[in-house]
Amino acid sequence: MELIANLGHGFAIAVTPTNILLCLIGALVGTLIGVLPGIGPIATIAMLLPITYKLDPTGALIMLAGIYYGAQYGGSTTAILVNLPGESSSVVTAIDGHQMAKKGKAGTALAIAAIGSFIAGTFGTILVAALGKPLTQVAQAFGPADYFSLMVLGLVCAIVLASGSVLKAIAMIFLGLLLSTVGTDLETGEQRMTFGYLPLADGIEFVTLAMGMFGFAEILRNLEAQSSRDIVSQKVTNLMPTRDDLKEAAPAVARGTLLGSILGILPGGGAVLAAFGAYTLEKKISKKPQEFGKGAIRGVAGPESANNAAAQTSFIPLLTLGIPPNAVMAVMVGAMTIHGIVPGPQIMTKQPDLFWGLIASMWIGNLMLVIINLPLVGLWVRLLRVPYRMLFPAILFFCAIGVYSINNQPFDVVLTAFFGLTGYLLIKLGFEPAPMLVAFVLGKIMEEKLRQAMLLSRGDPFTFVNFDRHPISTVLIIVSAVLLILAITPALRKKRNEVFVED
Amino acid sequence: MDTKRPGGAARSPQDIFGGLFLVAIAVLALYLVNHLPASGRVGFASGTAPRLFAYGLLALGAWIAIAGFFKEGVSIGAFNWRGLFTILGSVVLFAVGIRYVGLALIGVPMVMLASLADHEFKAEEALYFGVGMTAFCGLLFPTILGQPIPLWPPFLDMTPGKSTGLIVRFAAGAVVLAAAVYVARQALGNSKRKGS
Amino acid sequence: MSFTRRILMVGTAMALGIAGAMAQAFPTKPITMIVPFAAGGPTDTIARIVGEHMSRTLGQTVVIENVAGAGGTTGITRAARSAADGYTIMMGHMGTHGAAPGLYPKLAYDPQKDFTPIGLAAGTPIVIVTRKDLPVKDLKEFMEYAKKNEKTINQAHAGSGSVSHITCILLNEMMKVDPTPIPYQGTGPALNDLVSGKVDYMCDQIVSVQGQVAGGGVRGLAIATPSRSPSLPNVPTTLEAGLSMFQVSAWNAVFAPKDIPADVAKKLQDALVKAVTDPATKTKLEGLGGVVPDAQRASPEALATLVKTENDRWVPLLSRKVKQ
Repeated sequence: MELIANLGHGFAIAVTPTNILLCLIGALVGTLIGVLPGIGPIATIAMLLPITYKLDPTGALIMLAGIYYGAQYGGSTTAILVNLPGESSSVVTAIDGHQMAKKGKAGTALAIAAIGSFIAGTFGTILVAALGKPLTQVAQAFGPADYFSLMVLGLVCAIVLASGSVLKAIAMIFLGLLLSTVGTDLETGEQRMTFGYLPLADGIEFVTLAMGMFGFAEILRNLEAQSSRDIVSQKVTNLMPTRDDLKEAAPAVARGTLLGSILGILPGGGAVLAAFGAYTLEKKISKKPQEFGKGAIRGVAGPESANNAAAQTSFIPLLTLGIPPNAVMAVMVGAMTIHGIVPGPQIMTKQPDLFWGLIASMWIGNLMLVIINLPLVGLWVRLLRVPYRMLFPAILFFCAIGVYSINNQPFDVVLTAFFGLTGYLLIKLGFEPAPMLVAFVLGKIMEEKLRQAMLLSRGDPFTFVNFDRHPISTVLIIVSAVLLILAITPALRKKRNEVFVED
Repeated sequence: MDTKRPGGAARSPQDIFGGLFLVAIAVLALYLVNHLPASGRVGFASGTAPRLFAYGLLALGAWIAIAGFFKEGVSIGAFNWRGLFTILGSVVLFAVGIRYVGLALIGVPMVMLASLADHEFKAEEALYFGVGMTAFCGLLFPTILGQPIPLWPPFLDMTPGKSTGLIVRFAAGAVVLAAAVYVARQALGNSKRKGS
Repeated sequence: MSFTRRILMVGTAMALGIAGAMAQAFPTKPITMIVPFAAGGPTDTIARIVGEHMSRTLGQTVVIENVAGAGGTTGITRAARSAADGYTIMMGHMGTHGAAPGLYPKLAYDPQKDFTPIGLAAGTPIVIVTRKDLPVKDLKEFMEYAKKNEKTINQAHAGSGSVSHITCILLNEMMKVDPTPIPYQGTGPALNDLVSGKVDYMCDQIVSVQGQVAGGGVRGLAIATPSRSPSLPNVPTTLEAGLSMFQVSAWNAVFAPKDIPADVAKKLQDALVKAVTDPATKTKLEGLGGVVPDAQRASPEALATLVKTENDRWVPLLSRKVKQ
């Protein structure tokens, strides 16, 4: 009952005209920057910070949070339409979403993504409000060893992302891991594979790699196949999902929401697993796994829901502990401190207006996003009718600006071109980039957690399977081992080969 | 790809070259991390993970390449050289130019060079499109989104600061949006009737 | 056609604007302040607060540009090489201008020679924090505990070269303790594991830890300043707690590239002093737990001295303790 009273209080704050307007602006700006490839929420929030000086802290945070989850929505739009994942979470959306677009079902994919995200967002918000505190306790039980094992499980799942050869998928995972180690060593500060070049000292940016390997390589390949390159060459069948589509997607939305909500509360990299964890789950339990990678609606609905649920529940560590779980939230903490609010465990009691107002606005923001995005579906789909000879230079231009804006570093743009070349070669040689990108994201967290766990255990490699000390880690390792065996056993391979014989 | 294995006779150039490509990357990585310690205080050092991953890649690459000699597979296919040079060239051009001449002056050459990748290249259309894109992005990124992207050459720098108020930005945003919708309607006038 | 004409008119207006602007005195266009760290961190927050006030004095926006990387040295390298006209300035910091020469042997700049010091903006004191269930009451007990449990004690830090890394090197040196340092990717994750008790202690800037100390997530043992901080009045100073030599503050200061015109430097210096002595700005900075300098300590001369003493303190220590 207290919860309802608190939420009522929150809604009373969030629905003032000013705060509604700020929420709307945040959601709109977020959608815009999400749609634009490369430009991320971090840079935008940082640039908009000065505007928030003049607002009250609650309004400021409502707007910034709107940008954060608006960007999540917008990012999937670009992934579906032009195969450009702007952040790690939309890599998997691009796989089946873009295939749907190529089949003339871009509208369905976008609409399902929006609806699934809204349902997931609603559930995630309720979870934050009702169980924020106890869930924090759960997250606190995870230590470096547990996170490492979680990332191992993630890597095993990444094998499933590929639709072709398992061997090649594993090779791509190793390539992704290798690339993730480029940069300054966290412990000693040594330069690793940077050619002594300063701009590489902080490692490779995800966006650089994703734009190059996905975006540029895709353009190069499209230009080769002159006949099939116009993305919507076939007639657009439906803008909105049919009843059958919705029925097909519903269970995936539910599963994705649950999985994403759980992973989102883990600050040490849980949220990055949400989207493709959900994809793996959908593909594994599907009766028609052969449809995945060719435009399966569940391959869009599951990850999109998981992604947005995680985006909501990842606010939990920020709100209950005051510790930002990712770089975007770190900027929000900066915004809070500028307004004189000290982030910490006392925020809930000392700043109830901010706490509950923000939570209420999260739901309102999600509602706004679905209202904004559903009508936009038609516009986006029509955008695909722009002749490809104009579309691709525009994509390149946006990408170049976006990549430049991450660090204001021209070198990053050159690096993207290099990865475009590499990605093109890899595609030519029959490799798929998705497992590599996922491994790249997980690799950074994985090595960090591995080092920490090894240091904490003073070099005991069996610390990960020491049930007494790390029960979570032990269970995760066992699950990973079972899954890995399932994935590479000859029996399964044979089945896969039969499935892909028509390729 | 992994279709069938009729016996030792056939070959898969895609796998052979793909495997060798990965082997080359792995060897390069191993060379680059050669100076880093392979193990340290707790059996784990800065060089451990890169070596581990590089050896893994080396083994897998070799496996793929060798297996490629014993199975039937796809050929690599022709390379799109024109696309590679123009697309990647245009991106590099942007990177080189952005600091020296700014977004306003690099936009058109970049879009035009990129457009050359297409066999249906039309110079006039690409020029207009480049001008339009540059104007749109020039307004959008530095002005509305407040990104610190150089718009003009440094010697006449007038990149609007982030002091540009919310209202100004919102107004600019509305203008751009209106213009974009107008252009889109002009360009897509036909499809609108055909579409949904 | 009317659209084209309008564009022409705007273009003409812009051209006239440029011509007009060139005739005026500094500053005639926005000033870029390079912050060598990601947005949202302590240095970024201080730069934004100070920059906002400087904008008002100078009559031109001070645009914050985050160029993060390599412990801040990427951004400072770029700023040092930019045109010496006063339109590019930077928020340097204890790491980039104090400790960096000891951490990066191939550093592309010399903190003492390659910059025009503008002035000190704010310092954020270092707090020694432990997990809340560590069986010690105060710093004295902690030092004994750490010595006794040298083999098992774990010290978190926010990555090689970070403030929390180098300040704890100094602390450990003074306590004569050799713990196992556990590196994290930033302060957030390190603090998270300290709150949940996975690691035993760390050192970090007050702005990053004060919420946790006040909320009871971690225990604040001592603050490395001569007097207590109003943000954390219950945390004793290292003077009180018995480690008086440990006096560390992560200072943030504005620099310009070397050889900027004297009148331009003067304008920037005046604007900075005005910003840090402004009561509203001061309150904001102190809310972060910051120590705000008076006009004398914010002067360029004082800053030049500070850089030198900090180099003397950190470079020999770090060259010895951190291998490259």
